[in-house]
Amino acid sequence: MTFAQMSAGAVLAGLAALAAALFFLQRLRVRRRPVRVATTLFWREAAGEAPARMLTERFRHPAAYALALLIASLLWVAFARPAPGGASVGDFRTLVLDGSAGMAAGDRFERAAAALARHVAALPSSARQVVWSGATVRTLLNPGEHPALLARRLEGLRPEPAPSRLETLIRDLARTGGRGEVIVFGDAPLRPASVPDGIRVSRAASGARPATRNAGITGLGVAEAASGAWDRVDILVRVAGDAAPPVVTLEGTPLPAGETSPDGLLFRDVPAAGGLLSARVRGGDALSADDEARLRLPSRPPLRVLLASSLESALLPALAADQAVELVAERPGVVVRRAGETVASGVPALVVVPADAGTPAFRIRHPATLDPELVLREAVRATGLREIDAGAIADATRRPVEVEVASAPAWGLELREDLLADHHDFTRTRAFPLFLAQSVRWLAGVERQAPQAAAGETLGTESTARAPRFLGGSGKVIDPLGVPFTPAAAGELRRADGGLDLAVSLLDHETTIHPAAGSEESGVGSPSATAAHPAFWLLFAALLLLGLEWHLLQTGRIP
Amino acid sequence: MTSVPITFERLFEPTFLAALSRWSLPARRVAAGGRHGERLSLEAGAGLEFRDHRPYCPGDDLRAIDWNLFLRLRRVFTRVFDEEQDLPVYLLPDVSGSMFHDGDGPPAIITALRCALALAAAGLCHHDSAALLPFSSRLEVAFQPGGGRARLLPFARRLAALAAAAGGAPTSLEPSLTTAARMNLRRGLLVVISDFFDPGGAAALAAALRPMRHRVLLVQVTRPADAAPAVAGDVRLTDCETGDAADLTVTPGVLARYRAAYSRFNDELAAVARARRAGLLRVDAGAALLPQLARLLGPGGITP
Repeated sequence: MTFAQMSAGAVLAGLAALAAALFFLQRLRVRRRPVRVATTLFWREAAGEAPARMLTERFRHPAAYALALLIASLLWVAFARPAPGGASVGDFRTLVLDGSAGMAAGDRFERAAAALARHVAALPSSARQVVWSGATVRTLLNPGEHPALLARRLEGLRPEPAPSRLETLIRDLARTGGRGEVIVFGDAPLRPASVPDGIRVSRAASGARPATRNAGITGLGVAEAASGAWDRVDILVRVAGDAAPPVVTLEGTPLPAGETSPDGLLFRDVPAAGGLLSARVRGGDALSADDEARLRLPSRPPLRVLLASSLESALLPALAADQAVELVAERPGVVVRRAGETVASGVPALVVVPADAGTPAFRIRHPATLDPELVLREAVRATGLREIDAGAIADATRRPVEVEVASAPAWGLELREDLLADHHDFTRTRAFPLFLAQSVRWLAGVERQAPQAAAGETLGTESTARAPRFLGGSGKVIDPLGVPFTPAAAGELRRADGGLDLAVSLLDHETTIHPAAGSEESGVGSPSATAAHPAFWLLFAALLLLGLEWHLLQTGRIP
Repeated sequence: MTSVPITFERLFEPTFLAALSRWSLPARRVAAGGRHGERLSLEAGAGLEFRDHRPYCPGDDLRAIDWNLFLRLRRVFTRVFDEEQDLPVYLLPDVSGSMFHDGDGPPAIITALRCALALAAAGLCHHDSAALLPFSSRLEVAFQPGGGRARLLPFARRLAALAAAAGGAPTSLEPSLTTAARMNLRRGLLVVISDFFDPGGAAALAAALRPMRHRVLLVQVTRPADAAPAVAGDVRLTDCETGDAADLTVTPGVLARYRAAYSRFNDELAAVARARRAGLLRVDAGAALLPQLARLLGPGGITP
């Protein structure tokens, strides 16, 4: 036998205190009400058989004391909420309210919130915390906080258009030393294998009805056009559930029918002009959050490159072969020149520098306000330096191949001149055109396009010091520097530089499939349900004894 | 003691006083030796009602000889007439402390004094005599025996004075009634108006009535609270006469035993009255008095 409200020791101590208090009260002198009567003649006759209670002289009424003690003990034990075989008060419970998109189906969220409120009311405040698991994880009710605060904090809360973070949350709880039991209020899928050892997870039954059917967009991706066109992209749309082919529009204009592939619906050579692409399944179903997905396509204008005449012999063929590059003589976006040439100053430049002693093979120049380490990491990845055979170059030049970072007023990439020499193979390697093309794109500020922007899914690009930052609803930057950014929920994310918004969609297969499949409630009984039975019977017994005491009192058998 | 002063006006309301003259005391023949009145006396005399004949004796009034009978029988008989005399009524109201207790309603003394006045009026308005002998721990003579309707108002004022001057003396039936028995009063109707809450119980009353030569009428003034007191819980009961206190836990069981004891007391009181061949009238102080007195003083009333 355990107790939900307090420890067994506290229950025993309370019983002892009750016995002592009742014993003292039994011996306590009563404060008698003075009553003046015409005669005490008959009262004395009546009192002769039932004398008044006296103080501390002797314990006169053991039966009355035993009855009162029994009633008080029953009430006390009922208050302690006995739970045969259940979790004791020592078990801390983390109550997780699922606020993911799947909870928007039917009345699941309302029922889960109601079940949560019942649990919170039944548990001691020091032995539980309530956590919201929606697009983000945050605490709704800390240990010790009054249960009444929960209702206020639940006001206005709705499921968010985001996949479930339940497994991540449980892993985080286990990692941070979470104790006790985790009770989930919601239908978020949870694979048993994802639950770490030492943490017990159960799901509270909310009584929600499973949804009948659901279909939704589970994939909306963009990739470079397979045709090689710089200003075109290919689009892949994936639909889950029994639904007709989706309606795909670009800025409101339907696209021609796509190709059906094993991976989904493929749309080729869609213009990459920064338009907003939308894919929508037809008809209503259990969940609306996954019915539409949107994607902001990249904007791919030609890269205006000014190539200094001194380098035409070495670099012109490679640049001319690049479909993205437009060689211009004025108002360039990128300059390719030798050191010392004063061509379009202030413009990001690929500069060929003399091979003096101490000059590194590659030097990246960046504004002084930026973190050199971040700049180096991004530049190495973006320019294709990873792809070059640095060992071969070092062997050929008999000099180490080094990459340095230095601050400068404008962005730049310096290339040591000897790497372009004819007796070296670097310009003839397959990596060189790629390096040159990537360098020009990097210098021009062309951003890498994330293949898809899904809620809860890491974008393929990293936020760097150079790329524009994303702003949250409060106008604050929300993407961290140097690590991949994961948008929390579906929606539009504004950019700090005022550029094209990032359209984030739900695109979660589990969320789309789960409502239609029905919830797999484990049916963990609520504390009130498990603890109420003994408490109910104890209260019932106490009520019966109270009736008995009243009867004995009325018949004068106890004072 | 009562919390509200008992004044003459409170005691004797006009409607009450107006109803008194309608009643008379039912009584058997009165004892001889009294004044001329309206009640037949045990003594034959010079009344108007013929009672019997008896042989003539020297010294008899010659006017009483029945000459017609002499002519028929040739023997001399004289006519004997009923003597009509008054009935002495001795009113003994209890003025002990319990009669003035007003814890759960009007004090019993008001009803007792009204009873006394009603009985006095029933006598005085019919040429009977009335005396007022209030008692508590001892008997006093508050109003000498006397007759006449004119004595009614002084009698009432004396009653009101008793109410105003009442104290908290205890009830002592035996010495009080013994005193009355020894006062050599003409035999008449002795009316004891009391709650009879004597510490000696009904036995004290029986002992007190034993030497009494008068016909006795017991008027028991009861109050609703006497039969069903509104007392519960842990109380300290204080006797309003003796000041004795008794700590008690009043439970329903105790109340039941109280009611049984009170009922037993009433039964004993009735048994004493039967044994003494006295009348017993129970008057509820909580109810209207006139209808209750009609049982005694009205047509077919109780004959003590």
